[in-house]
Amino acid sequence: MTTGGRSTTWWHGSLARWEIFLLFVLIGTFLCGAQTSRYFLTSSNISIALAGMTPAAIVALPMTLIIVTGEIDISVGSIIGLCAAVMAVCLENGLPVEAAMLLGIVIGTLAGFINGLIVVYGALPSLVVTIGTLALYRGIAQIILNERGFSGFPQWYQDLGFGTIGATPVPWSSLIFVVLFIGFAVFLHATHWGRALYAIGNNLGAARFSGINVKRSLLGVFIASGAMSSLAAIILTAYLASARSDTAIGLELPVITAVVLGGVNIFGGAGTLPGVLIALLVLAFVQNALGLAGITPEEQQIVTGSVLIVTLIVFGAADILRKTRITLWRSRGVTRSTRD
Amino acid sequence: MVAPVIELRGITKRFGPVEVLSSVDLSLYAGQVHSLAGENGAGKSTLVKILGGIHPPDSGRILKNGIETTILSSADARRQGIAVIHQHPALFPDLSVAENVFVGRQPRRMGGVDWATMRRRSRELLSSLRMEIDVRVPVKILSLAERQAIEIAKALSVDARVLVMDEPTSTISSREVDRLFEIVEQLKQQGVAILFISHFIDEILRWGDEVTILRSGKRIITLPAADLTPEQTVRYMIGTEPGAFFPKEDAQISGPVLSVRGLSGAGFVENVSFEVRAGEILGFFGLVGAGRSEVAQMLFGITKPDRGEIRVDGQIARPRSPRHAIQLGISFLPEDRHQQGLVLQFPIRANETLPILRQLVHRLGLVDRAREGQIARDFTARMRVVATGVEQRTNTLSGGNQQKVLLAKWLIPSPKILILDEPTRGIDVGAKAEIHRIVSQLAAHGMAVILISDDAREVIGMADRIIVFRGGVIASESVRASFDREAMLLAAAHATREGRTLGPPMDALVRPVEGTTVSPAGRWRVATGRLMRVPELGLVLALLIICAAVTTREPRFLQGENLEQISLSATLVCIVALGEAVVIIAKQVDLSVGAMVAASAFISAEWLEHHPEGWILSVVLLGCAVGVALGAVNALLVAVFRIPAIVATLGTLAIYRGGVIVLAGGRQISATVLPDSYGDIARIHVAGAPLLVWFAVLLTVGFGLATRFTRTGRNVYAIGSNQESARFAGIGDRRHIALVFILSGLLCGLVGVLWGARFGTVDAVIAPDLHFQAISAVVVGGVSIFGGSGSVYGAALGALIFAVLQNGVQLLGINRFWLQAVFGAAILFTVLFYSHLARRAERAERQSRRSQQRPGRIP
Repeated sequence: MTTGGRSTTWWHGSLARWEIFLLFVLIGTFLCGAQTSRYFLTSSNISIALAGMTPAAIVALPMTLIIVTGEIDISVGSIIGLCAAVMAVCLENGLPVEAAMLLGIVIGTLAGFINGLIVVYGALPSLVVTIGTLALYRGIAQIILNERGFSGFPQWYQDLGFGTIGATPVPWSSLIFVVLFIGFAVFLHATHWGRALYAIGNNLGAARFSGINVKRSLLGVFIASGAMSSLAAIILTAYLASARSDTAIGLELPVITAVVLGGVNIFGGAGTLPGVLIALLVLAFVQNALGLAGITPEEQQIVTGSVLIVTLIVFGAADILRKTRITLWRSRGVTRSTRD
Repeated sequence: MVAPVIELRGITKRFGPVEVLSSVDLSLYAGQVHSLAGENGAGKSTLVKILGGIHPPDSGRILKNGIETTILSSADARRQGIAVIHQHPALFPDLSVAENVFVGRQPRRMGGVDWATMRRRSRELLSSLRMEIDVRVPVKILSLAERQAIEIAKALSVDARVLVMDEPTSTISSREVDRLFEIVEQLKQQGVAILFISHFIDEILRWGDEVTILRSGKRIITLPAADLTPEQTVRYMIGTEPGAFFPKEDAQISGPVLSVRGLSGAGFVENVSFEVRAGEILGFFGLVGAGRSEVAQMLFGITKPDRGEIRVDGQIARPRSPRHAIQLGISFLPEDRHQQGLVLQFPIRANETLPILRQLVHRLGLVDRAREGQIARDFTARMRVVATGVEQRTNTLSGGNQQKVLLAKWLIPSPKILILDEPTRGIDVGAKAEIHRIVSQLAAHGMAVILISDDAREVIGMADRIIVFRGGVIASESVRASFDREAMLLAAAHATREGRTLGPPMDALVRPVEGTTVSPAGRWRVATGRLMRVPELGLVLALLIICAAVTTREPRFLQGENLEQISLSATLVCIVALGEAVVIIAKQVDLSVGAMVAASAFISAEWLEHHPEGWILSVVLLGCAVGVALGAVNALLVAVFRIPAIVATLGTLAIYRGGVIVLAGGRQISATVLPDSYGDIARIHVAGAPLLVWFAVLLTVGFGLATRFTRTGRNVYAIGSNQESARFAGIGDRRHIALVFILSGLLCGLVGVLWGARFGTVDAVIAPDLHFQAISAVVVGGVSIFGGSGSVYGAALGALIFAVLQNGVQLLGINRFWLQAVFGAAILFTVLFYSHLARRAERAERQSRRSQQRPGRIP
């Protein structure tokens, strides 16, 4: 299981134990999936699965950063809804698609910025703040769009969500995700800004006293969450070919599940993005396989919830084991020092 | 020969392969203080834990008054009359002093908690210790010394015959130490046997009647304190000649590197001026709270000074932030190693390079691993840190090694000025000497050092010049040649300026003036009494305002039928909110309430559909059973598997909701297929109001009374305030946490049954936002999301307010799509408002305490 500072380099030896375990789970999922249905391994099915997971995957990137710092953002689904509503209203009024997209991105980033502002400068727990903004942003979406929906998107837009690159089964949206993933992964694991996030998640006081600008870092991750949510809104509305005020209700559940399943400690300070990537793939293909087996989305929801819980039980047990080991280590270390 | 109250014979304890205590003997006698000395790792704290019931010994016997006994747990230790006071008192910040003294054992009267007796007895106990503290104030506003007094009062309240004090003086000022010593004298007269552990050799010999010295888990010797000198004590502790305590090297002192003029700020620091030259060690001496750390924090950019000039190398400097201060060449090793110093999960390397990491990068911010490792290895070796390598995690190092890593961290940026705040606090003698040696060497090589310490011997041994702080101003300044320890201590406690004496005479300070314990309680209560009562009062006020506002626009609001509608729609949310409030007070959260209500509603409606002749009572029981079962699953996950409630209930929310949807298969059960008696539940009126409303009111009052007057209820508050202290106090925290989730489930089950009666139709997607409405009601009702405070009455009022808002929006013809936005805004606004209130209260309290800490100022 990945814990603590060593996770700042994800390729570090034994540290990757959890990711390797997840990799086996992914392979297992593929094997089971292939058994379940002969359509599973077809290129069209794989591209559907990948395209379907992209919006949640994109949001999972900044969510990982947020959870690493010890905070949380439950309002991501509502930000997506808000961006979708804004875009729909723009398009209803005849604005060009590009302008609507741009405005959506601006609004999403702004929403994230407001989250960050209240959490950081209001010094309030992010849980409560994002519960409030979850309602506020969804409410605003409902106010501007009511029960209407927009579906007259141009073909190229819909391709973003659904179309694949040439003859390959790889969707355009996956390519976008991969680029974003590389950016976030490098940021978190190889730059000093990323390490600052781990410091903040582990010990806020020490981070502050070490010269890290905690306020700016936290503000930044919330802004990133808003911005990525707006991108996810574009891809999701493209995938569904529809923009409504109730778009992406409840999306925070699979996102947080993926992040936690990926080995990120819910209390902050530990976890890796590659782990989250594998977790996202596992969840996407498990849901896909279940769907092929005729299991309804509601039943899939049960599975997602159960996966979250089982993962946490396993982590909880591992954590207790780790703490016992540290106690032993310390008494060993202490004895050594008195012989100085 | 008097028999010892407690006798430990041949106590041995092993952790894995390491023998931490080897056959230790110890005897404690009534009315005597037994001091325990030894370095870090000698086994002192393990011995304390064994006496306190936290660990059982692997072999050996414990005899109490000559009879063999075993101590099974910390609660058991207390029952046997052994009280342990830890360095950091395990108290409950949100609970009052009285409650803290009697936590878990509140006096009872007629089955309920007797608050009056509790207050009276805690007041008596504190008086017997000559501490006058208002027992109604929350502990979080009290100082560390006052909290220790409360711990002692706690010990007295259980008639402890043995008191173990684990390093009680490490973090309190000398004046408070004297006061504590007085209390200990009182306890001796009462015949209590005391085991006293400390790092301070002076205190060990001064306080103790007998001294036992441990080294590497073995008892080396036990002697009367009168027969020991400090040097002998240290020799026994470390086993060899102690050598020079303070190896001060001669250093070439040149020009001023740092010069400070007229620095004022942090509320009480006034007009501080000094200079530090290259090669010089300047000591800051004074009591805790005298302003030394505050000055340092102003130099390091943590707080902004109000006035004053700082110059580094002659240039004016205004450190805006720690990062800026580091750039200016200032390094600051903070007092609190764990909260402010190290990221314990990081490897040594990451900790050491944290301040300068942004300089160790390639393009694009990518960290240069090679250079980073090199620098870390270099400095780690220089500090002689004992570790397997720079990749070792810092939390596996001993205290002394951790401090060395911290020192390395602050030397890496090549500072011109090094500020050390209590660098040797809480570490063993060997490591202390090493750090002193390193600091001397640094000065010898030209660094300007500020050494903040409240250990007079340390400061005198290390510094070239000493500045004594008192009450935020500089009380005296002296040079090495004329260091006078007594004069320094006097200056720290009692200053004279131009012959005029500031403050009460010295006698009064050494011997406490009758009944004048610094208690900010009076001021706090005035400042916040009104504010803190605001939650319920303010809510009623807000409610009235909203009602008035709506009525002026739409008079139909006040019509009986409308009011009935409001109260009915508030009812169901209110009942769920009661459960949610208790959950949040316990510092948990339950997101699955909506799903639990839906499950109960559907299952009970379906049962009723197939058993129309069944009793209503059986339906109710069925619904409640469903709720309890689902709540129990939550309880299992959170209390047993220790999964954080937020994610656990996020998961069960999905599982339960999915489950109901699958179970329902798209069906809807409407009132037409259900017996009339069912719907009657919602229609029956009693004394003009619906039965349901009376029921909700009754439940609210019931919960209100239970949370206030039952031990279980008070325990929930305790657990929410500080779960670990609760465990220590023997309150089964897991049990109570499980209880609150089961309770929440029960209430949801009940509401599920009522739902069908009220709304007529039941399907799988009802109450989709209920968790949100419940949490909003609770938060708006003044229950802190951090747990430990608030009341269920507030939650009920919150539910009412939302119902009124909803109704108002409908009546005024406002687009119903505005509702959710309004709700969200309401939450954000209330949370911001409450936090603003709390901060105002804190600031008021801090002001009042500071003005009382400066004797000489007319209060």
